[in-house]
Amino acid sequence: MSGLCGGFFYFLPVVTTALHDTGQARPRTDPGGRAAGPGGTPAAGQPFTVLLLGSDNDKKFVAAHILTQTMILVRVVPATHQVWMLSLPRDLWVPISTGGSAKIDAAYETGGPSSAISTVEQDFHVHVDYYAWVGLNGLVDLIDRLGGIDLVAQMPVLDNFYPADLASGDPYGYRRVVVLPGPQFDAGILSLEYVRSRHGDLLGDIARSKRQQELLVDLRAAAHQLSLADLPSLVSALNGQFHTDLGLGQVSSLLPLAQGITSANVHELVMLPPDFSYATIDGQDALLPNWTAINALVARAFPSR
Amino acid sequence: MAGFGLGVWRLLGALQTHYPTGRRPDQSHALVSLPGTLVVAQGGALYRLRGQSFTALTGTKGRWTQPAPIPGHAGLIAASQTINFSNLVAMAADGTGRRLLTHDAAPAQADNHWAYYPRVSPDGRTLFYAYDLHDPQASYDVTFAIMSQPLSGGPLTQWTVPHPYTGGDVQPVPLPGGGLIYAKWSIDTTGHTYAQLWLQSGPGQAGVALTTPAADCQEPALSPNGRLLAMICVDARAQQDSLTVAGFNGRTLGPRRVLATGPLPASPTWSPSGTQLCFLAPVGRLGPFQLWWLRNPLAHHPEAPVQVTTGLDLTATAAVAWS
Repeated sequence: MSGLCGGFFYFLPVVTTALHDTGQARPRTDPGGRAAGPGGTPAAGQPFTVLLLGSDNDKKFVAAHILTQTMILVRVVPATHQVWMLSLPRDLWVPISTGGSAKIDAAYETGGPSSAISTVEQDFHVHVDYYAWVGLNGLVDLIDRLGGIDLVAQMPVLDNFYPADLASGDPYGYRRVVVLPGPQFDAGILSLEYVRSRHGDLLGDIARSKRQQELLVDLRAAAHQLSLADLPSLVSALNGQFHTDLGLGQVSSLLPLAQGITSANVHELVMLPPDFSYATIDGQDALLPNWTAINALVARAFPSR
Repeated sequence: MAGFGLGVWRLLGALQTHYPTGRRPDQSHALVSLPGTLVVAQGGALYRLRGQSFTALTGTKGRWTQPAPIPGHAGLIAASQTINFSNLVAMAADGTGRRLLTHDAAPAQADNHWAYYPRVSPDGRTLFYAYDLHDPQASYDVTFAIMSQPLSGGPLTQWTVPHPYTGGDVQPVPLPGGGLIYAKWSIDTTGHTYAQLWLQSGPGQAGVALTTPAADCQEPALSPNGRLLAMICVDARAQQDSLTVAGFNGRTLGPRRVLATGPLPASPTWSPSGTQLCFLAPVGRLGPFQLWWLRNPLAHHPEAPVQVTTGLDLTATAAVAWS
């Protein structure tokens, strides 16, 4: 009995987080506003699709109304250990499930994860089984909790207008950053600079999306070392900076799955012209989707609904 | 009973993955002794390795990195970083007598500059380095170009013209005859960036590529006799790379030979004799970078790399200064 108590208190942070941050209810609505029903979760071992969302959740934003600068669709096929990742450009101008059209990063702002998921499902004709959202500090803390991360910076990344929010607490300030190229072992802050900087790239947010996918591959590699005993400290690191509708059991079952996936089986997809064209809409720089090209790209990895 | 519960709690804690945190080199010892003197960077400080003992040359306040020897055992040059800018500083071999070589701080944030990858010409007279240029017409475009200046002080000369929005040109290697090898980043029609090694005979001259875009090679290191070029070639798809070496006749490279593949070899450096190589790489598949040694990289069947350090967290983007 005392041993059970010891185990219970060890995993107490996980239990607390399980209640608060995982297994989040996701009231689904279809574009017409009707309840879509439970939708059904895939059985163990079956392929599934996760929508990864990342946000600048600094003091510029009200917690309930943040944009998702990062949106990555991930398709996992456990039987073959294959993973496909498709980044959705934040500036893509699309119909939003809650009404009207806007940049896709506004879908989350208008209705949280359910709106983001519904928007992606209706526009890209895919079924999303789960979502996971992480904030900036959550990513930094996660990498630091892992002790750092090995990555290969694909180019020198220089940015004279990098947000100074995390370094100075000024959500509107800028600072200069540089990430030198080549293999390196980086802490959370430098890793974030590598995947968050966008001004020094000709393709801006698109190039940044590619680096974000690289980071996910590197994080998966780091997850090779994790065990169930690591969950409490990981959960502490992500306190309030992570939520998902994956249940805790599903999260823990993903650990061995991640360990069985090799880099060669991770397929990274990004949208590039002619998948979209550049435009100015309502005074905003936006990307106009070429749905024929995008649908063909999506169909390569994601079955239609 | 309570004690047993506490024991279970502690046992579970002990089962957590413990990640290496990187001991200070001067609180550690090298596993083997390398010839000569090596200077490494870790955590913003420089450390000298002689035999198997490390000595701190600097504190961490200057966020020191990228030490480079001045020919003739005349000390070394390193980059000192802070928020928004970095400077190059010359110092004696024991870290004393520091002299500022660049002046990259400015009152207006946008007027600051970065200076990295210092290298001194074989005659000891000219300093080469990567320096960021700002295009006032395209305020987001910040790219490195290779610059030179007399080591004793004097005007700055721009050697290379970087491709905009690529990160630019870095990692200069001055040649005995006055030319330069460096790593240039370019971008293809799909937006993919890649590195190539380029050879250039003088400032502003048209250069020639030594490696192909597909090879994605960077971090050149020329042997002291100028005949062998070590480099890192990246497989971006696999997030892996390889340490390779090729003959150099002053104009072109010979066939490349792989000396070491993953996990992530970085920043090769030739020994002063030109017969040995060291580089940085994690131990196993992941983790902080350690120093590795190739005793006879030119042998028909080179020996496996020898691990020199353990438990450190060496700065992988800072090649070792070996003199």
